[in-house]
Amino acid sequence: MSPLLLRLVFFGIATLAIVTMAAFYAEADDTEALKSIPRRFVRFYAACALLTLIVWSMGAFLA
Amino acid sequence: MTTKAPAPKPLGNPVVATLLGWFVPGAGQLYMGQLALGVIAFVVVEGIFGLGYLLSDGRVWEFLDSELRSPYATLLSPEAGNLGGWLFTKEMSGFGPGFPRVFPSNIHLGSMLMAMSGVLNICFMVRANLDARIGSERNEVSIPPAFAVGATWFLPGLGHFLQGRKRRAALVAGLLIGLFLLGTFFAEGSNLSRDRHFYYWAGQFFLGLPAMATEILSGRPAVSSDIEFMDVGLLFASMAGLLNILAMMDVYAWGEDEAMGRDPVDSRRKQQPESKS
Repeated sequence: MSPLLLRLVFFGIATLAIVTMAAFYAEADDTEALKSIPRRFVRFYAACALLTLIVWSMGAFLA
Repeated sequence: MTTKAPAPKPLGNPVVATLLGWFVPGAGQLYMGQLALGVIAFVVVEGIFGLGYLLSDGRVWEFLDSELRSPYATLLSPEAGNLGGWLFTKEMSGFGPGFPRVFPSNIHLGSMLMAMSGVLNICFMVRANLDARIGSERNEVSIPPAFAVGATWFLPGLGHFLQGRKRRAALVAGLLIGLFLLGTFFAEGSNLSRDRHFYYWAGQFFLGLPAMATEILSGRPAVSSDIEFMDVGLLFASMAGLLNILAMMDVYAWGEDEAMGRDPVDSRRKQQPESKS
């Protein structure tokens, strides 16, 4: 497995824990919490992608 | 599930009760006139702290790398939950004489006990805060909220289980303990030593028994070569403990709603309006 792919797998594992626990914290009902996980995943990854883009842009254009 | 809301009979100012308990264990309870509970809190928390201090010879902070030492650097450790104990350590021992010395043989056990006193005191502070707000006239609860917080610290998912939320208990326990074990595997056990990773250890300590038992049973394995995925392992293990704090807050919120006669599910939904969309 390539190092980048491996790091992405690690990131996925960390994300799974963060998003699931955040869903449980936000929703007291188990069914609602589990149902909300896919939507939370999308939002989390979108936010991470945006942050990556900002950091990459700053490195590329401002550094 | 409880629906009848009793009239709250506050015993005092919740901020004052919480802060007093932070400085001196049990002082929050004494402020509200709960003499027996206040004395018990003081004896238990300071007893565990004192035993830990004696076993470690008060030298736990010498674990911290010299370049990370500053007056408030150790506030990012579980001992900070017992501020009186933290100040005592700061004044009496601090970071030691500034040169390396051989540590006492029981320093790791002492370190765990000192950290445990901080977590225990947080539970008493939680109790003081709730008692100050609603007093003893509360609805019947499955288990007291502060006890649920302590149980969740001790074993992830235990607080949920005792509240009757068995599916969530299993998911939380499986996820967090699994993440911790995966981290320990990647770090090859190097995460299990406070003298090696002071802050990562502080994070994973919030996982309670699984972290402590793994550390004791493993005997803190020596590191003799480079560990390829040590950073990932440390991150996972520490994250597991820190995410357990979310689980502790979850069981507390559930217990508080029960005690106040609110429906825990509806109450949480009202606080998270965006989650309904």
